[in-house]
Amino acid sequence: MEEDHVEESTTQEEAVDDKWILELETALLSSCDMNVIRKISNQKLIPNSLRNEYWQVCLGIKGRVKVLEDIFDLPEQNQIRNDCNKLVDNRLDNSSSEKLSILSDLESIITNFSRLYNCPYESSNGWIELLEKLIHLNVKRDELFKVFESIQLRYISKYYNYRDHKVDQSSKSPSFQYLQPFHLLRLLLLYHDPELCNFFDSLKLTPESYTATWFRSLFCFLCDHSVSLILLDNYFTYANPFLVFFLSLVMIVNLKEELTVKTDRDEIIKTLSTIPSSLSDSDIKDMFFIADQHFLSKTPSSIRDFESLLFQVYQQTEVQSDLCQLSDLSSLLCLPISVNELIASCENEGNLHYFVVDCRPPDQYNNGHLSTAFHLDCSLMLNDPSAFSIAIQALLQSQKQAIDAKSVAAGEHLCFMGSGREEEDCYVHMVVSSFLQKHHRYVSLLYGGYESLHRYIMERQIERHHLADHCPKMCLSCKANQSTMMNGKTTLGNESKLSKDVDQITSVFFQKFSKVVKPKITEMKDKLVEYVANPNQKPIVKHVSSMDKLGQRYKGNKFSLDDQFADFDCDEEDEFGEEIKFDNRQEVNIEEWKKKMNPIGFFECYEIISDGTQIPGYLAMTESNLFILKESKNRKDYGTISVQRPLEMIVQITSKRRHPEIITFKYGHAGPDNESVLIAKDSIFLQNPFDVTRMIKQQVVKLLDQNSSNTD
Amino acid sequence: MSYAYLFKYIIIGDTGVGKSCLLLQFTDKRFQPVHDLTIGVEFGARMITIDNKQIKLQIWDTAGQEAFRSITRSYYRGAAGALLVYDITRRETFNHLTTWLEDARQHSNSSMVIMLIGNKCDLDSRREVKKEEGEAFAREHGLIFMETSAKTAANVEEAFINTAREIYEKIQEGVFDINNEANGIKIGPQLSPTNPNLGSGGQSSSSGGSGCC
Repeated sequence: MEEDHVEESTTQEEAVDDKWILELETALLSSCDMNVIRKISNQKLIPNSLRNEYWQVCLGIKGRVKVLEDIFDLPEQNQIRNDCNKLVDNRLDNSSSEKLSILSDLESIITNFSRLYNCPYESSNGWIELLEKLIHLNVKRDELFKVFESIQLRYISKYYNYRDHKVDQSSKSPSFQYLQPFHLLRLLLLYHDPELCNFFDSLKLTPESYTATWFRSLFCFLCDHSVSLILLDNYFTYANPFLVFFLSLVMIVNLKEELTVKTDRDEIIKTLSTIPSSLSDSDIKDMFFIADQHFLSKTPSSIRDFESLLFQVYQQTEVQSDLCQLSDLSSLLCLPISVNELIASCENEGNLHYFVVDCRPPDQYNNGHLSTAFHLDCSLMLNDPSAFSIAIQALLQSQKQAIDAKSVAAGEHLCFMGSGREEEDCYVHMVVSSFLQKHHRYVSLLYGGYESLHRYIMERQIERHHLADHCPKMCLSCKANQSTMMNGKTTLGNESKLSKDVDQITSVFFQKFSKVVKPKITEMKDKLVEYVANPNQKPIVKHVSSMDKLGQRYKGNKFSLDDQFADFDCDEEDEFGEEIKFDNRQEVNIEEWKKKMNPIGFFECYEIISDGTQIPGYLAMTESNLFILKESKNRKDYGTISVQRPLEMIVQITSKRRHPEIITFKYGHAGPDNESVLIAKDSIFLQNPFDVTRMIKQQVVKLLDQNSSNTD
Repeated sequence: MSYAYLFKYIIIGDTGVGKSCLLLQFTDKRFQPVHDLTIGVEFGARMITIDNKQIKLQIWDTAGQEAFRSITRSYYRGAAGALLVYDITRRETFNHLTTWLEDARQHSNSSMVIMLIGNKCDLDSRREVKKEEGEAFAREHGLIFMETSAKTAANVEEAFINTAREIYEKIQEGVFDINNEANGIKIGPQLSPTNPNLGSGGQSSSSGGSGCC
């Protein structure tokens, strides 16, 4: 009975299988694109009969015609013939007539490729190794050539194929170009597992000693042919030339425990270099999954900038970062990040979020810095090591809190920033080194430092979105470039428009703030923050959660319980000229969002941005946060969250005298001398401002009461 | 702790010659036969006394690999002394001295004191570079020379202290401009109150003047 049951289920599965295969077949026959077949196959095993078609689509070579020449006159022709013979005789078990035709195909493919791309044949190119597996596609010579050519150009480091580039003629050691992909692998290992990387480094074990055969044949050399073909299926489906590095990482890191107990270098090399041979069909899917989820998606996308350095054919991008110009990866202390990626990440467009650590001297930081950046005074490391280690602790603690609070600028990934000038960058290098020595993973360095960041920001005139405290007169980068300074001035002008005509209702509950400030905060903890973050640093809000207990924040002596009118002084207005917006560009269904967040209050409103534009949206209040949602332009009932603020950060709610419907929320924390430092503000237009603000005030009071009772 | 002067050192030389071990022996008085490769740059400090004056040595230990030369270079600037280390059991580390020296001379200030160190002199049986060769090289290039062993601690103190003494003498002779921090010398809190002219380069400290005689 049981057996019958099992059989039945397998036939059912097969039936389902057949269905997608048919679907795939149909799709492949019509002129479909890659995404379609990727969706249909959905990481299932591609049947060999469809494999060639499948690959052609993935590699983008479907329908292309190659005309191969039948001239065999290369200087290496004998070598080619010998190697092909060896392969056919020793490794294939076809009939002798088949062998003969395979032999002539192989020689023709290699000869044509060599001539076409002017790369001399050598046994160590790995061409034969790759072709050995590709033969199993059972396709005609010209088709096979197209596949081989495409793999070589897109997925295999170009330096295997470069004439005179492989070996440095003077020293007879591998040339620095040839070593580039291996340097990148080392940097990636350093990024994800600094401990293992340092272990290898200490043994003088460089990646090329064990991955040379992996890279040149995309692991095919050591795998048996069915594994190879499945591996290539997946490889082309992912269509990411950098996968080779991440798959390597999976294999290396997987053996970490076994490797680190060994001390013999040669033994480790042997163990490592034969890893692919132990792969089985069923491992491939998992391996790609781990490579993608665990490594690729947690790696700065800046490595994409090295595509042109490593591969013959690469995607042309519109905007080139400075990293594209880099020609030698060996001298990098850790993985570099381009300014482009960092800014994209600040705009919530990158794949990773960075916790930016600004390591420039304090005076430079104070005259302009990335609004999300933390400042770390590197000179402490030299002058006061114990203070420095406290500062590091504080930094990591803040990072953790920011992550817990899911803040936009928080990230597991640390991005260190120097000034970009050699004489000062020795400090940032020293700090990065110390993090790496402590085996801290996800450590990166902003390529070009603040200098590059500044240039990028000024060229695009996005200063007000990204820079805080920027003082063009004092900023070294501005001083170095007079023309950018002009830009800085024009942008400054727009800022204080809103400040006129503002009346304030100082809100009710601020006396309570002093109770919330934790009396238990020890002096040391206060000090921590001083070391890490400059006291004037406003954007701390982005890093700090509402649960944050590190610093003083909610003292607001100038506020009283009574609604008061107070004049706003202009200095303060300037202070929060930098608007910090939670700009999550992902659209959410507003009803679903409401279900999920369960807001206490939800009101229609118009968000007023600094140039006076009114954007329709909603104001929502949950138990601890205030949200402003922006209505989607295209989709009904959808919106984006444009602002999220912890309620405790509200220090003022003000309304305009002439337009009481316009409400401004001001957020801040306690600065030095218990003066509140304003960090940000939001202005909105509300139908029933008084009801809404009353409700918000009540909730804040409730929250503060809760907090103070919790701490008692 | 207050000090009269602070000298910045840099330790350079091929990978594996024992730079980190020398530093560890000098700062912690211990030897660690197996240790991780230096990543980038490390840093150590110790106080010594010369001529009854407290001198703080701030020592930068750099990674020896060729690849990190460009990073190492930035540390030459602002160093008052350099320890150039080779391994007496490995000839090639001695052969590379010329490149190291060129690099150092090119990127440092001209008055930087350079001490040539032949390390691992406890391994005399495996010696590939004669002591005389080291001496000759030092003489030819105007360096001070010593053979040391980070393992047995032989001459380690002396190497660091003799370098400091040389720097100190150069200060007395007025060769170093001590008000320019780029020379790798800082006036400490001990000296600054008694000599206000020198104060600008010094650190601010409450315990000024205490240890000076």
